[in-house]
Amino acid sequence: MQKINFKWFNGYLLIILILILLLCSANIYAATLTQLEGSFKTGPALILIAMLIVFIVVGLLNRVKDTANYYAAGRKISKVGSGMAIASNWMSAASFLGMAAMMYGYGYDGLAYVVGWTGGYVLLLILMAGQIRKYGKYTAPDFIGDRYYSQGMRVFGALLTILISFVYCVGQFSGIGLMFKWILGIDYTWSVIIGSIVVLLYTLISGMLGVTKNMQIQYVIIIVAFLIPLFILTYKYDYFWGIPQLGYGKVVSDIVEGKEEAKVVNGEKLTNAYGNDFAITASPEYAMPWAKAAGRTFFQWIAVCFSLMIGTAGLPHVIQRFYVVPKTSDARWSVVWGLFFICLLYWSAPIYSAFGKILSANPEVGTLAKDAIVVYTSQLGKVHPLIVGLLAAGAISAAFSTVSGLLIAGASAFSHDLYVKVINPHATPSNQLLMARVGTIIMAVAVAIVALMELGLIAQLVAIAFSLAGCTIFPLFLLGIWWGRSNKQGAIAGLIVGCLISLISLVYFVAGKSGAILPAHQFITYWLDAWYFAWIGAPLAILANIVVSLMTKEPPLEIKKFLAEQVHGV
Amino acid sequence: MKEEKQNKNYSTNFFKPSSEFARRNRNIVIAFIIIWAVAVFGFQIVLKFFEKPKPEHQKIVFDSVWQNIQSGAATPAEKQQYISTLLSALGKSINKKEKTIAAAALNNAVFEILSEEDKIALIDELNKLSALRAELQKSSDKISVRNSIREKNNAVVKKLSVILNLNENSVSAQLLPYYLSATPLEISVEEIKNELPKIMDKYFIHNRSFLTDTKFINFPFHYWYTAEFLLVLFLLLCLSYCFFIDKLNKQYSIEEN
Repeated sequence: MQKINFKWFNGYLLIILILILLLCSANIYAATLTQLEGSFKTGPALILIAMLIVFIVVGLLNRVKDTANYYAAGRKISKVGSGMAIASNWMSAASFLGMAAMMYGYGYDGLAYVVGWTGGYVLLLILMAGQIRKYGKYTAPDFIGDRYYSQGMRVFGALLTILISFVYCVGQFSGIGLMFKWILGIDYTWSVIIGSIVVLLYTLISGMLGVTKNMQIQYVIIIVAFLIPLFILTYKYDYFWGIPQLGYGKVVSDIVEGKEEAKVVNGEKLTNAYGNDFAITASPEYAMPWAKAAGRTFFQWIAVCFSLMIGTAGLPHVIQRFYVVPKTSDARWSVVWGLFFICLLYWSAPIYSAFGKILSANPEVGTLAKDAIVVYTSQLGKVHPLIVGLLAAGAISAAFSTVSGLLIAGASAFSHDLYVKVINPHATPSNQLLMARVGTIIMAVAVAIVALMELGLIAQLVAIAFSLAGCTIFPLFLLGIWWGRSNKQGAIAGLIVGCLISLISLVYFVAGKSGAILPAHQFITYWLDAWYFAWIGAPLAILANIVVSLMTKEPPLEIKKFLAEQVHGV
Repeated sequence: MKEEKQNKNYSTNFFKPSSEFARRNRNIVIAFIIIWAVAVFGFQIVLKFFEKPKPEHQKIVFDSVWQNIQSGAATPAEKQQYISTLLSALGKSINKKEKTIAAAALNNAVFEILSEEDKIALIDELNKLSALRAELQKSSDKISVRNSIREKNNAVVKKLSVILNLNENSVSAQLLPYYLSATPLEISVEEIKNELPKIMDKYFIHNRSFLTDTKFINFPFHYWYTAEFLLVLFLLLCLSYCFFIDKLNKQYSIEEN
């Protein structure tokens, strides 16, 4: 009975989703030439609709009914396939749009994000992946509650998971808003609102499907959409286009040394979409380390990079992926493949920033929203509008797949770890499901409201989630796995320290955004900036955990026994 | 049962491995973390260690003429050089405030160099240009307005390039019509005097060393290393760790479920 209801429910949602998108397409009018935005773009809108429908249909076709079936399905997925799933889960608006924005705006400083978001996988693999799989829990709060034998810790872990997912989503929603703004040609506020409704419907539909296998297909579409314009750009502007990732070295050097005159190819001067020369004044600040012009220092580079790395190894939705692989060895190999697929995108993102820099050099282009630079670059580079549309749709689906995963993770932390275990232990399954749905909706609305405040660039907003995870969850997992002596009291102390530092940083961040000046404002915002406070927060939390654990009594024997025998296989 | 508990304390400590397998795993992990840390952070420290603030050529030019420009003793050639450095600054992505200051300085310098007759002609051209730009906002035939703007722009560039000794096809010369203005900008000479050297310091001095000046497949070496090589290294580290650990598991015949 329940199942039939779900099917109808899905059907209705799907129809609403299509209607909304078609309604948007109804006011079709011709796009003005050489206008970067401000007009409705039919082609891209249709591509987006098609893409979302493909994801949902593939999900429907691959639907698995229960957990047992899911594991059976899981075993059939190759290591390469689960690597793609990891990559698709990981690649969000921050990777797709945000990274290029950072390099476009801050030059070498932006590379800290590229390195930070890949280097963390090394830590994750050699310190955690296999062990987490052997521990055999289902969610991060489960692990925390079990390892530190405390219901309170489980609740706190669940709250943290929700908070981290929430912060992570804010950046995604701004990305979705920007892309909807580009496709629909309406203002940012309305774009965020429409984008949020669409993503919520998408999440509710895909959430109903249970665990789907459409992540591999999502990865392929996202990466293809991202790579095609790069071949076109390098080919068009006469760089080595066979492998754009190698060919764009000359673009970077051209920016550093300056390219005073546009090259003439086949008797025609190379220009951007406005007809401005493909030329730029020497701007070494684009590539030189911690340039004064970018306003970033050596310390900030290191702090951002380090915070992102440990954050990677502490993000609940990333860690959770290792619980579901059937074999420990597969957990490790899927990291290798996952990292490879992620790197494909990360090797390529700087190319957009470099081309964007030259193509937007003429003052006629004006200031561009950094977070949409990937799309603007392709437009300025005269890439075919439909290919640009595919790119924008790719950005949206990258954000969508991440957001739906995060909203579901947040909602299940709410319904599974908080509601059932703490608030109402006698909840019926349908009651639980209702709470999960309500949780999803509340979270999506709240995220949309925060996204409307435009607190920072996508990559920066997402970096906050990484620092939060690095300060709180990373120490719990690291010590929980590798040091049997770590006990409940230590964990609590570590969490207090981690949360305190996070709180200080965030309070100063929010105060700064609203224009208030708190005591020692300059000092705190420099050393504990919201983008990188984990550089000190994580080490201090680990230290607190160790000191307090040693001062209090050992954890129960069964915990230590389980850890030694099951996880470390002595 | 009780005895067993006392004998075995089930301690897990990364640094004090209780089995041969754990000991070897620990050594691999430590070795990998060292390689990882040195490659990522060590390189940045090396970069920091060797770097020296190095001015761009245009900054050296600016410094050599700035004194004379201020005192009004600059020769026409020096004024031309000064204008070309201002254009280089305006060609970079500098912030709005800095842009107005550099543009004001540019206006002062260009109008100073022109003869009365040229001045009137230029103001006339610039007025026509701003009228066209205003028209662009309203016009339905944007393409033709854009084309006439482009023609006007080119005419201004062509004329001024000769007077200012600039290459008319260069990107700097093409900036002129955007930053010259028929009405004087509201920035005092005093403000230009104070702010302009700061802007030049900020945008024209870069941290450079042999690591940034060496080229590798056309990239500045440090850029390639950070943007591309580090990711390759991460992949290699992960790959070799998987091989190691699989081999180790086989050696100690550890079955993983």
